[in-house]
Amino acid sequence: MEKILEVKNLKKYYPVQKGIFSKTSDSVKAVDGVSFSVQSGKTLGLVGESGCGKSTLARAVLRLIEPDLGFIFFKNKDITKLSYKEMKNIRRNFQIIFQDPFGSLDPRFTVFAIISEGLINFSANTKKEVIYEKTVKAVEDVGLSKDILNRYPHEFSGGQRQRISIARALVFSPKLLILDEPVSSLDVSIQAQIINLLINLQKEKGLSYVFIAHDLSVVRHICDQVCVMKSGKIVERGETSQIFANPTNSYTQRLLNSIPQINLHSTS
Amino acid sequence: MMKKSNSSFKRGIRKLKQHKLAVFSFWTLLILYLSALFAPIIAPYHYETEKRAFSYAPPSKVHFIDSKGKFSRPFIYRRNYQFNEFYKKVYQEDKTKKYPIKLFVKGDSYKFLGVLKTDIHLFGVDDAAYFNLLGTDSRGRDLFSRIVYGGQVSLSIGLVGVFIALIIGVLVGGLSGYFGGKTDTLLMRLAEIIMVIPSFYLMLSLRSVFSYSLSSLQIYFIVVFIMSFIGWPGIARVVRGMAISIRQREFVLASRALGGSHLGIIRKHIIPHTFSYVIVAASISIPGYILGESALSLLGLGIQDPYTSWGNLLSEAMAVSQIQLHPWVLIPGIFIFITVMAFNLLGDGLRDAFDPHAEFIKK
Repeated sequence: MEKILEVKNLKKYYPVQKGIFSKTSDSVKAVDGVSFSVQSGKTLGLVGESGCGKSTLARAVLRLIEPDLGFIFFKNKDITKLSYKEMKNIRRNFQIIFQDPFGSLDPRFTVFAIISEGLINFSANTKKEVIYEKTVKAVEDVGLSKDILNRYPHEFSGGQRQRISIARALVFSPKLLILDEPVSSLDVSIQAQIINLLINLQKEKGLSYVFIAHDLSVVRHICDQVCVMKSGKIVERGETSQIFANPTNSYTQRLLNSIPQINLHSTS
Repeated sequence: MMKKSNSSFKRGIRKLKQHKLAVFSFWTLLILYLSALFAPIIAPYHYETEKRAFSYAPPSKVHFIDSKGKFSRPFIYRRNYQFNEFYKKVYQEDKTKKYPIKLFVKGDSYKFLGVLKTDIHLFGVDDAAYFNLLGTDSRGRDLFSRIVYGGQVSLSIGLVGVFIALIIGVLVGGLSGYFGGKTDTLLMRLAEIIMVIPSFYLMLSLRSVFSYSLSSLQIYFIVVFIMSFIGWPGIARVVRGMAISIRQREFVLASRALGGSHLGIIRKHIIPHTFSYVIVAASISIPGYILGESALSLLGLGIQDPYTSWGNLLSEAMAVSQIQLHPWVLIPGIFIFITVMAFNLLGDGLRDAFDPHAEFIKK
């Protein structure tokens, strides 16, 4: 099967500066030599505790922050060294959904301006009617009504905002979505709605996902393959069913054991 | 039709209206600015009209009750002067004839807004008398008229100067904060170099770069340039700080992922978020510009006679003896005071209404 995204030995270090002359004494290895690949049309899960470098990895892969070392291939094309302008043409192929639905939408933009921003950036000469139609389509695809287009983000709940984020990402039909903990700040019933929406969209549009999460039950539900991350490194990888059935790495075992379970018989 | 939701701007305006002092200041400023705009109509005389015989005439007494004790429309008497034993002019009213204050009288002709030639003034008296609401200066020019005309310079320099300083400050701050690194270091060190020089010395030395004898319009623009040159670094520094915090927000990252160019992101996502601060900073820094112009003109380096600005008018009040003998020469200072106060109070109100961070400080 075709690899849509491949990451090789990616590194991102943050220097730790000490003293009055900002001497770089040490560095935080946020992402420390990570390699993985995503198959076209599949979902790769990235799990790990908070602070293990998942979000940094997500941003480095899209070159929203610059990785220090390593290679990123999109459809076998190396995009690591492309300039910011060259990246623009590639960017329409992949998008990112952020964890915080309150921080990821510009509070001064209307929903219409938020969703159409990418459309306008990628195809400057598109007619206004076309942009409007596509925006309406994107809003309806994520289960919202087109009446919301003239409203501002602060008027929506977290779940609705996350739907707006998804509409913004999907409006120009990218191939790959990086979901950076898209549901972890929502409540449980809304989480299920958003997850189901993502699964449906994947089926309809043939999208590939990189799904970043710390909630393993969600990962089990949505992912085909899973990578387990710890302190910037991938410690275990494999098919979802296999990892959940018999994890080999001790960290993965502990992670799996930490899923709260309701055992009705033990207390009686 | 879809109803457009309330933006944060409308909410800010609503909050501003609850701030009584700010509203009062706003109307005060509006009156001052309108009077500067309509100066040729409001001023009973042209700013160059001088009657040497009436130098340092005190403010005319406006009478409402005539010699027979009857209530009448406001009027003044013609004044004559004699020299007392110290050769000081003493003005006395000649009570033989009343000169009623009339509305829309003919007087000195002028071109309104540079096109409309007319000679109508809002109020005035017949030519035989000299009506000085706020007295006259050393050359017998009507102080009230000169204050109204002077407002054109003093009030507009604040607005124009702040506008230029804001454009430079916001641009430099936005670029510096967004790009960081070497751009940031370079631009901020430049700003700091300007900031560490005491502003008054910088003002004087900048003024000395330009020729001393220039037309009044040239001097006006030089003063604006000097003031905004001194003003932008302060704004740039704060905008930079805001840009640094905004560039890390997720909507900026999202915009990058959406193919936004650097300059586009700065323009659409970074700079608009600094507006709440910028509006407040503008209204609070305008007094600085007005005072700076006054200081330059007071020293004779700004607007030159016969043109008038409030600072230039105040230069007559530099000697203590002048203030003792003719206290009304201080009146331009009162106008400066009112304007500066009003801008500060309006700025306070704007900050409460628009700057979300300020609320925490207040409570």
